[in-house]
Amino acid sequence: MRNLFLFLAKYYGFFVFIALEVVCAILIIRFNHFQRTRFLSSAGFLSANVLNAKSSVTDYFSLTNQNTELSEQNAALLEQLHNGTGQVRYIYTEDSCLIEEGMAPSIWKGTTVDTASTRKLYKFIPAKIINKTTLKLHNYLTINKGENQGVFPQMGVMGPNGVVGIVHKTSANYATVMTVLHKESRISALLKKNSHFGSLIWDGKNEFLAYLKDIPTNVSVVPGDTIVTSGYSDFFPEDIMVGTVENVDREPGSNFHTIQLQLSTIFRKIEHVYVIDFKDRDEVRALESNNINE
Amino acid sequence: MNNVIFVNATRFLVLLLIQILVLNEIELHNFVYPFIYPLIILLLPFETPRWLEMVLAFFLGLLIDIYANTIGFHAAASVWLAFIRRGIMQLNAPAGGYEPEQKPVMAIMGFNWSIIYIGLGVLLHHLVLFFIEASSFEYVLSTLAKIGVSTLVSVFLMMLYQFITVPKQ
Repeated sequence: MRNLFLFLAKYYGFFVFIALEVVCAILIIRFNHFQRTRFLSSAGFLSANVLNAKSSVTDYFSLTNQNTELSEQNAALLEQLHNGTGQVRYIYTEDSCLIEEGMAPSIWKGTTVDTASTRKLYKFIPAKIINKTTLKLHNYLTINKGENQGVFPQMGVMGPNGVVGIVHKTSANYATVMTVLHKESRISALLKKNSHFGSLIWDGKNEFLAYLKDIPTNVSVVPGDTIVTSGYSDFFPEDIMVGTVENVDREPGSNFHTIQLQLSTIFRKIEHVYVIDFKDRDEVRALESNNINE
Repeated sequence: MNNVIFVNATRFLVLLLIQILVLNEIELHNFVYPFIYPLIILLLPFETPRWLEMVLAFFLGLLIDIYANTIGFHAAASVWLAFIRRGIMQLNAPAGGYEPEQKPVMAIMGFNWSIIYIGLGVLLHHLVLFFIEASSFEYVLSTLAKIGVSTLVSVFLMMLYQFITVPKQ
């Protein structure tokens, strides 16, 4: 027994090292697995407040660009209003607006959508990014809206130019967003010209390029084709811009294209986003969970 | 003694703020991720108890992790650095050994000693950090390139910090 204590005393530094690294390993596994983190993130109270204060200073440096971008959006909205595309219903509240589906996507893309054909209601919650990463393998944004403003996990997030990501974790007034630039990210997207759909993934290498998987080789795809969201998941309405095809490849022996696409959202520039709240989400999820139980 | 604690606590705060508010924002060519916070561990006095070094490193790493959304990555790399720094000191020991009142800062140990000590420490820290982040050996070459370039930039910043903060004689 005495020898054991002597042994422990002699090498205690090593045991402290091993013990702390085991704690680190547990933390890494516990907190970095997809959608299992709940706290200790930048949605946390302490860090979010510091980042918010920092953001309020750094915002001044990009005011000109932000103003230009916002006025462009306003112009597109006005154009939409006066062109009168179908029966568009919209209600403004303090800091969000209710828009019939079909209205919102066309704002960003400058095309018209027949709103009469769809009945789903989406609420768009404007939010500002207070922290972000773009160059890691798993990139997140932190936004200044949280549960008090109606932002909850699993809601889609879009920017002025297209898809941004999906809300990951929320606190009272902040939320983190798992961006398209995340190795675990999967978003349902389709080729606009022929409606073949696949899933959008990112390989962790280039912040401007992503891949569309599961498009069979008998479908013709050429560089320049437009890729939009499919609307088959409840994260995003259909027809939100994702990107354009950059390069089409086929691996030997594979029945699927490897489609490389240029993302329409430039993550390092984006500062304002819209969280998409699908009003009938709970109803749709409840209905779909019945299918699984049967 | 109180003075030692004060100096180290101030350094802790200053370097932590530089890391979180400035360096975390720097994005250059996908390769350069400069870190200055390991200097807090590297400059702890020689006579600091080993357990205290590692516990401090753990919480320092965890703080950096909370701001970077990478829980555990920096904590693991920092504890590793705190553990290995004694070994680097042994490798790098001056001819007559260390004097009891010396501190591992450039102003006392000299430029050559300091750059070898910091260079090796940062390289080993970044090696662990970037491989944990990649969590595979799938992209070994690009990870190694990141480690190499980031180490150079981090060491440069740390030496610069030491030049700026040389105490007045």
